[in-house]
Amino acid sequence: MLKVKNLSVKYGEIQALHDINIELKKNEIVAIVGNNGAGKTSLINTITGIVQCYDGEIIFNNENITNLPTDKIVKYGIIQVPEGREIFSELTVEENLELGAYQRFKKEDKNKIFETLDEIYSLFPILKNRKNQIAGTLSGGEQQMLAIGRGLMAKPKIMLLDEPSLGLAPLIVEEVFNVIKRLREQEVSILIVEQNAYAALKNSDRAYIIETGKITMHDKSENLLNNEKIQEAFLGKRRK
Amino acid sequence: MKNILQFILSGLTTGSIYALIAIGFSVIHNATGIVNIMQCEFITYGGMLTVTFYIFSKFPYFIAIPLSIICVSIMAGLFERVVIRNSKSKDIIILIFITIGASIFFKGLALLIWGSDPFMLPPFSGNQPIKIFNAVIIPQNLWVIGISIITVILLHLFFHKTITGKAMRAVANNKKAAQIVGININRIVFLSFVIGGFLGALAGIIIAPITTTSYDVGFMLGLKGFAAAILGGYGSMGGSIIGGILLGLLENLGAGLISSEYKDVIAFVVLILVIYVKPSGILGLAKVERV
Repeated sequence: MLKVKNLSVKYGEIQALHDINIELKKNEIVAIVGNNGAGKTSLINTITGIVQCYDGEIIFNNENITNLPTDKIVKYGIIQVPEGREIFSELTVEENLELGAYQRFKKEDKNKIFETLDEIYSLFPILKNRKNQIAGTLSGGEQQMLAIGRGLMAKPKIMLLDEPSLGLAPLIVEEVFNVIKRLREQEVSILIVEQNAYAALKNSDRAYIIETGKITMHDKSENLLNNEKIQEAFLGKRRK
Repeated sequence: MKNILQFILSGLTTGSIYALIAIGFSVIHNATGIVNIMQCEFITYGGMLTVTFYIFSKFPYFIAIPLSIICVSIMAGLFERVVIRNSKSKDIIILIFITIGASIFFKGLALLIWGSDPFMLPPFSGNQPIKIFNAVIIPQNLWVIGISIITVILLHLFFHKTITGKAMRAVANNKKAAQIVGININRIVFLSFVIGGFLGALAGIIIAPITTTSYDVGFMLGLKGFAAAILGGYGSMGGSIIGGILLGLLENLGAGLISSEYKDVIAFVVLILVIYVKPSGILGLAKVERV
């Protein structure tokens, strides 16, 4: 469904990504695991057109979408749920969700959008209770739910989640990943980039390990979870 | 003291004008981060085009006024599309300077087209003063206040009830998030200039029957509108309205009760004091919603 081929990204002289090759198939949950500064966010930002790539190709359903502006990428149904919960903190919860469907307002009946809104509210009842509240007053976990809900309002085919566990308490992290796993029922393919290797590997089908801008390993998530090197590097286990 | 009602009514009139101009500054600032000095020229061209269409082309007001507003809105949109968007540098300081340069250019152009004489537009409906208690108000004051109130209500509905208006607030709030949900930021910036042009032209037209209009009328009005925006809290619609009304009242009360020579001084001293005590303006940007 989504293929990234030989992708390289440079910020001036500094090369953030080297020759990245990844693939996301329909209805899959794929994780990209790496430490701070490994290039995870650069990868997602390049796919959604926020950052321009230097070399390589991004293919969606056989169409080349490399370096298209973000609003065009969104039209394809490729939606980013950004790191640090980039929500509209001065707008209400409901306005945040409506803006998630911004492009749908131009071509679809409003009732369909409100149907999606109801679906989001049943997925996240807390958002319904707070729909008229200013989004900046939500707790961290609620803001993450809002960011995911806003992404879903676009009826995405692919969702790219950037560090959904960032800054959340372990229990909330589990809740967020439970929601992510349920998105599969809505026929959304998911790419998660995460520092939290355990949560990401436990909740995905396949995973890539990214280190200083390069993919160093790629396997089924459960295999990686049991891999000694991974355990040592990311899961804090010592070799016997 | 018995004239105080009179000063308040005059203050509300000029205050409404300042508020409209201040909102124009704020809308463009929120989309782009720049202070658009061209706002002054939107005011001038609004008034002067109406002079052209009404006095020279002899169109009735109901054609001349909308036509002028449309022309200035198009001019503002083109200015963004052609000049601002194609600027190689996206540096805020450079962009502001481009608007200053363009403003000087258009002021010169206005001088070439219309000369330096001021023009008087007739009031929208009669000149018969209306007595309210011991104050006298001319119908044009009511037009100014009424049109401003209606404009503010319509803007409020636009920003809160339409998806495009919400998208404009979203861009003001968080540009990256706006990009991520698929909002075309260029389109919103363009739209903000069109709205700025609309508001500037409207202000320039409705005040013209009271103060006359000329090729350089926009500069002082623009400066006052800018001051009003800062006074109220730059970037906020509520702040622009409060700042505009307050500045208008201060000027007129100062002129009436103390001395008309010090009218600008009094207003600006208060402005400086407010900024000194509360740099973010009366409403303080942090807490209020931006438009």
